Amino acid sequence: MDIVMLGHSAAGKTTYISLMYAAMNRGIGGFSVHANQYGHHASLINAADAIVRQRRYPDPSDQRSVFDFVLRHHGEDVFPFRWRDYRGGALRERSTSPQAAQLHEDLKTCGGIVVFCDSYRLWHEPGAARDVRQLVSHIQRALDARGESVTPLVIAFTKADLVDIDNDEVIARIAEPFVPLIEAVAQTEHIMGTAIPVACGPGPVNVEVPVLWCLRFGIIGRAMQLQKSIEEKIAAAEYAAQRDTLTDRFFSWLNDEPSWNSIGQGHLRDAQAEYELFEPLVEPANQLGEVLDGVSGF
Amino acid sequence: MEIPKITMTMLGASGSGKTMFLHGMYATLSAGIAGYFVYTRDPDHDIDLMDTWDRLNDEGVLPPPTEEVPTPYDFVLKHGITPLISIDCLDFRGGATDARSTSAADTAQLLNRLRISDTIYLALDGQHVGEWVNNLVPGGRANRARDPMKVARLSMFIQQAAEARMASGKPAPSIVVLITKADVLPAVTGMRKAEALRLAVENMDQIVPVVYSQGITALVCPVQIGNFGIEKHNMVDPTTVDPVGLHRPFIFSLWHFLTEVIQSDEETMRAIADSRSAAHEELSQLKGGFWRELFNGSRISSLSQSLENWDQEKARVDQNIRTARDRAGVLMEQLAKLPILKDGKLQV
Repeated sequence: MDIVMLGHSAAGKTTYISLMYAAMNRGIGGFSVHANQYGHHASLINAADAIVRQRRYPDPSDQRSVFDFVLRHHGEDVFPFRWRDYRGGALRERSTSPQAAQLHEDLKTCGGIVVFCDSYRLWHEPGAARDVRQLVSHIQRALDARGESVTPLVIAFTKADLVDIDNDEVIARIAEPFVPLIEAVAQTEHIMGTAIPVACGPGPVNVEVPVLWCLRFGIIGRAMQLQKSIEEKIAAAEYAAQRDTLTDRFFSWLNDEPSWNSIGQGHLRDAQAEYELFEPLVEPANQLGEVLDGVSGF
Repeated sequence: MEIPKITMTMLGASGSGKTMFLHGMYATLSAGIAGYFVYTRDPDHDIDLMDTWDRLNDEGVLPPPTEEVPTPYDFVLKHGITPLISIDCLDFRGGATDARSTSAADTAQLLNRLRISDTIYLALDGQHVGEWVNNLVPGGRANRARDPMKVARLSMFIQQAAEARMASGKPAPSIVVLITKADVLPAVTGMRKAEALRLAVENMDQIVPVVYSQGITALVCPVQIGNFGIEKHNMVDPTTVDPVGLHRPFIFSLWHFLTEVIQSDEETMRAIADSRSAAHEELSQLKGGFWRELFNGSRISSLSQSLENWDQEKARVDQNIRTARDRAGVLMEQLAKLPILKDGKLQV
């Protein structure tokens, strides 16, 4: 599963990835996240450490970063995923920029989208709503290209510690530019949306929610794909079984071609192999639902 | 699933506000309004359109006139997450319709484009409309013969294109008469905006006669980008940016397209009913008696198959009509209270 982080410069994407990784690497509710490359692990942990202990924030990304992670449940690898971080400026660049072109392509094919928006700017700067418009436009274009595939969509209001998120007026103002998109997504069954305030300071808040939300629905989407494939293979095996006769087995052997019996057995083996991939996803998906209990969706 | 595509062309005199309308419309609809969204298929067009809008909102800079080469945009209009229609839009520079500043090639290009246009937007500067409205009331002071909106020539182009389309069996294009800068109407006319608009619509046959033609469906749509006042300026106060009504022209274009689809589908239904009735009658004649059925077996079989196919087609077209009617009904909610002219008659 690929997860794309979308957001303008200084929205807090690079800071988020460090703190999310540090929190999830320690583990929450039996789940943990681990980088496949030690270099990524070390740099993310060090960056998170610098934020928490020294209030030293990472420099904004000057290039696209791709992190290969795996979700573990009680120490067992259950779901590999790739996290894509873009330079904020890519959103405003033309397609002649390789990074902008790659972003457009990744949005069409990724398994989940996390949109980052600076709550402080949304509250204090009237023009910040126009940045949201650009995000919405990218999302609308990407959703058309994706068809009906299950898509988790997280709107992360970063720097939530810099605004009064207990004040309804503040929440209404910062959420307002997203309302048309939220209402549109709420009408669908295949896009699983949530909006969550996130703080990426020395006292991180909700940093685990965006990644776990994406993973939960990414796992559910993968499980649904496998379930559909298993059902198709079982149906194909049943079709083959109906055509299996002793005569067919004999002449297939004689002509050195696969018999309906062997074709059916092949489908059953494939279905079994896919079930073995499917079955370990069920419990983590349910458990993730419990970890995310209280997080509202739209 | 492939969505239908319509061709839209925008016309208007230099300075009529066409380009500003396009930028404002995109800014409004791409953020989402009343459940509708627009995006450009080419992400670079989004940047182009929004750079200009951002400059207006940040610095108060009005966009430059459209360049010599007409700018094409490919928009997708959506309701929620559902794509409804693709709009191939071309914004002709104001001077393209001015006889003195254009070559025959320019005019030919414009006419060719209009002939393939399913919807044509004609931008009229609200200030000029207001001055023209003043002529309609006692003590009016503007000179009708001036025609600063170049309406006579533009209207002629549209009329020619509509006639050419109808002559080739295609429906006439829908027309949106955009009254841009509608915020200035009260200052220019000394009337309330609604009153000035009412007078403009009631007398639209004098200013844009083509909208009263048989076969034409037209919307008169006041729009504004902000409350910028009547002074000529290149810069405005960004805090006065206040877009109104900019999404409605696209809604109308889609609504009109759907009404054409419904009409075409209803004709298909009638044709199916006629064919079905004829086949049914022939079948009942062929089925009378053992020998007749024996000698006409293949014809009976063919007619029975045709009846079955027509039934399936009828069900499909009937479903299309119902879907289109539902969608058109929802779209009409956004157009309520706006004057729509059809075959020369005011519908609202």
